[in-house]
Amino acid sequence: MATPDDALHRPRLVALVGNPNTGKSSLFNLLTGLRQKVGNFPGVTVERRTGDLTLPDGQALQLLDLPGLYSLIARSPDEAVVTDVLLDEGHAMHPQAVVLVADASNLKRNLYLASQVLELGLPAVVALTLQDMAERYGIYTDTAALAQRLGVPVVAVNPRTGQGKEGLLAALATPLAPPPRQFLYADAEAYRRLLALAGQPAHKGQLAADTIARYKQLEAITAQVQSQRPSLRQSITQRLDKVLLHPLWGYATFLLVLFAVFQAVFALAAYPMDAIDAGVAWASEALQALLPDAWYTRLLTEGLVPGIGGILVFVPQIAILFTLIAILEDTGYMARVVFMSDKIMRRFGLSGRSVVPLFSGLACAVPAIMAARTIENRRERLLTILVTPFMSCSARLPVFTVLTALAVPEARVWGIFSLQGLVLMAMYLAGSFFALASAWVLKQFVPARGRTVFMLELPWFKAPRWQAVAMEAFVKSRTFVLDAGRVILVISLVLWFLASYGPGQAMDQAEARARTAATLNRATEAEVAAYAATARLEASYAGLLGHALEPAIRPLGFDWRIGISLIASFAAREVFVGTMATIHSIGQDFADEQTLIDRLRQARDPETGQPSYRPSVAFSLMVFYLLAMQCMSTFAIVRRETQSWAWASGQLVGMTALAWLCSWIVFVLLD
Amino acid sequence: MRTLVDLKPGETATVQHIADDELGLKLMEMGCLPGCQIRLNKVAPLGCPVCLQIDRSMLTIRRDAAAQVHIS
Repeated sequence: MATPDDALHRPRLVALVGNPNTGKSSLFNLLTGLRQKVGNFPGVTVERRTGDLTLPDGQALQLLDLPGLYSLIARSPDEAVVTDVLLDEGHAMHPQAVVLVADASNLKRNLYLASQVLELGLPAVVALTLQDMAERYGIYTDTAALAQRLGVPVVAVNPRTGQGKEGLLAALATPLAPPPRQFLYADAEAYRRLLALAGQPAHKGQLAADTIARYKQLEAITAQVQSQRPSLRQSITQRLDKVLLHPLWGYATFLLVLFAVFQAVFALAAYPMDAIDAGVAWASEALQALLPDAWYTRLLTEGLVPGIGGILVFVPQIAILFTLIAILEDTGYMARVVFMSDKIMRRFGLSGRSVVPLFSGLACAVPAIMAARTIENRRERLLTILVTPFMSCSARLPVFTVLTALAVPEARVWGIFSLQGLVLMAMYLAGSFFALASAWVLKQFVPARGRTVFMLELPWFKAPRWQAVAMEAFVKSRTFVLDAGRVILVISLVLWFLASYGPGQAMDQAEARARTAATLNRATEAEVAAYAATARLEASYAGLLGHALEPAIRPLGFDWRIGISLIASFAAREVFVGTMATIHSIGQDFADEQTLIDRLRQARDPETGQPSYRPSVAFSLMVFYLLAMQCMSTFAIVRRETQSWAWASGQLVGMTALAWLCSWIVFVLLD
Repeated sequence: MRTLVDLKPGETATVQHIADDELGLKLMEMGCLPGCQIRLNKVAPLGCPVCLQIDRSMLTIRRDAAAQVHIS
C-alpha cells in the first residue's frame, strides 16, 4: 500500500506507450541509457523495463517501457499488462503521465491507440518518430497543428540520432494537464468501464462502432495535419521483398543467412571461450596455491570457480547468437521468415512465430523459451516451449565434439567435407527434426482451446539500431547468466559435494587401495595421484549413484562411469567432459580434449574386454545427449512460463524416455 | 460474394464486411474498415499467410482469416 509519504518521495512515473516497430524501445534506450532495470510484472511473466532519468530542471523521473500494442482491447498477456497498468489507478506501476510514441509514416493507425489512451484522461506527450522515413515517401506532418488538434504537446524525435531528445525532456518537465476530451466519451470512467468489459461478446457491437467512429475522427485529423506529396521513389522494402519473399530465392536467402549466422557464432566465439577457459584454470590454480589445503579451498577451486567458469564459457556464443538474432529482428527480416514459414510450422502445430524461439534454442533454451511469449495462440506457444529444448544448444557442442572424435574416423568426403563435421551437422539437423516431429505428435494430444487470430505486421526494412541491438543481446545474455547460471551454480556445488564426499571412510579406503596398487605397478607420481582421484570418485556418493544408475543404462551400452557423467550433466551438459576426465584419471594434466579422447579410446570393459567407448556406445551417448532433458535451468524456466509443474515434469520425463528409447535402438543396431 | 482470397497479388479492392466478429474487430483496429481500400500485397510462397497493404502498413493474416473479409 502506498502511503502519501511514499508518493512524495517516489520519482514521477512516466510510461511509454505505442505500437510495435515505432522506435519505442530505442527511445527508451535513448532516454535512460544504461540506467535501466529488467524485471517481471508481478504474477505474470511479462517483461518489465524501467529506467531512471533526470530532467533538465533536476527532477528525477522513472520511465516504464510498456510492451508494444495496437489497441487497449487486450488479447494477449502482454497487452493485458498494458491495460491493467493504464486502467487501474491502484496498480503499483500506474503512471502519472504517458509518452505516446507514434510513427509519422503510419500516423492514423498510431493515433488510434494514442486516442484510446488520451480518453483515459492521463496527462500525455506525443513523441512523433520515423519522420525521416515518412518524408522520404512524401508524407509531411505539421507537428504544431497536431499538438493543437490533440491538445497535448507533440515532439518530433529521432531515437537514432538523438534529435528531439531535449524537446521531449523539456515537455516532460512542464506541468502536464489532463488532455481535453474530444474523442468519443464524455468521461474517462465510462470508457474505462467499457474496456474492462471488452472481452464479453455482448460488447463486440459497441466496440466495433467505437472503432469505426474513432477512425472517422482520426481520418479528419490526419487529413488536417499531414500532406502527401507525390514521391517517385520506389520503396526499398518493396524491392527487397521481391527477392526475400520469392518462392525460391526467399528460402535460399534464409538458408544462407542461417549458415552465415552459424559460421559467425563458431568462428567468433572460439577466441573469448579459450580465454575464459584459461582464466578459470588460472584462477583455480592461483587459489589452490594461495589457500591452505582444506575443504573450503576445494569447494572454491573444484566447485565454485569451475561452476562459474562453466557458465561464463557459454556467454560468448550466446551473446553473439543473440546479437545476430537481434539484428535480424531489428532490420525487419525476422518477420519475413515468420511470414514464409508459418504454413510449414502450422503443419506441426507450431506458428511462424515459433521460428525465433527454435532458432534461439541453438544458443540456449532458457532465453529461447522466454521468446515464445510473442505467440498468441496458447497451444502453439505451449508446443513451442515443449519442443525447443530439442534444438541442439551450445552446451551440447563440447560433448558432441568429444564423442564424434571417438566414433567417427578423421576422413574427408569427396575430398572437401570433414566426416566428423558432417556428423556434427547431422546432430543439429536431428535435433531440429525431433523438435518438429514431437510437436506434430503433441499436436494430436493437446486440445486447441479458444480461438486466436494470427496477425503479424511486416515492418519496413531499416538499418539496425546498434544500441537497441546491443541492449537486446545484453539483456538476453544476462537472462542466461542470472536465470540459468544460478541453477547451474547451485547444481555444480551439489555435484561437487556428491563427488567429494562418500559414506564413512569408504573414499579414504578406496584411495589407499588404489595408491598401493599403483605404486606396486611402478606408476609415476602423477599417475598414482590420478588413480587415487578415480578411486575416490568411484567411492563417493556420485560414484554410488552412478553404480545405482547402471542397470537402467546398461541396455544403452553405458556403464557406471557414464552414469556419473549423466548425473553431473544435470548442471550443464558440458560438465560431461570434465567428469569423464576425472573418472578416467586424467587428473592434473588434463590439458585438452585430445588427451581425453585418447584415454577414452584405450578404455576397455573389464568384463568383455571390448573398448568401453566403441562407436556404438559413442553414437548411443550422442543420441542420448541430443534428446534427453538434462538441464535443470530449462526445467525451471518451463515451469515458470507454463505456470505448470505438470508440463515441465511431463517434458522432463517424456524427453528422457524418448532419449532412452532412441539410444537403445542406436546401440542395438550398431553394436 | 468475393473475399480477399479471390484477389491476385497486386490487386486492390474495397472492404465490404468482415464475417467474423472477433477477427473483424481486430482488423478494423488495424485500419481495415468497411469502405477502405485494401491491396493484396503478396501471398506467402506456400499460399498462406497473405500480406495485405492497409494504408502504409503491411499486415499478414492467415488464409482462413482472409476468406472472412468480403470485398467488392
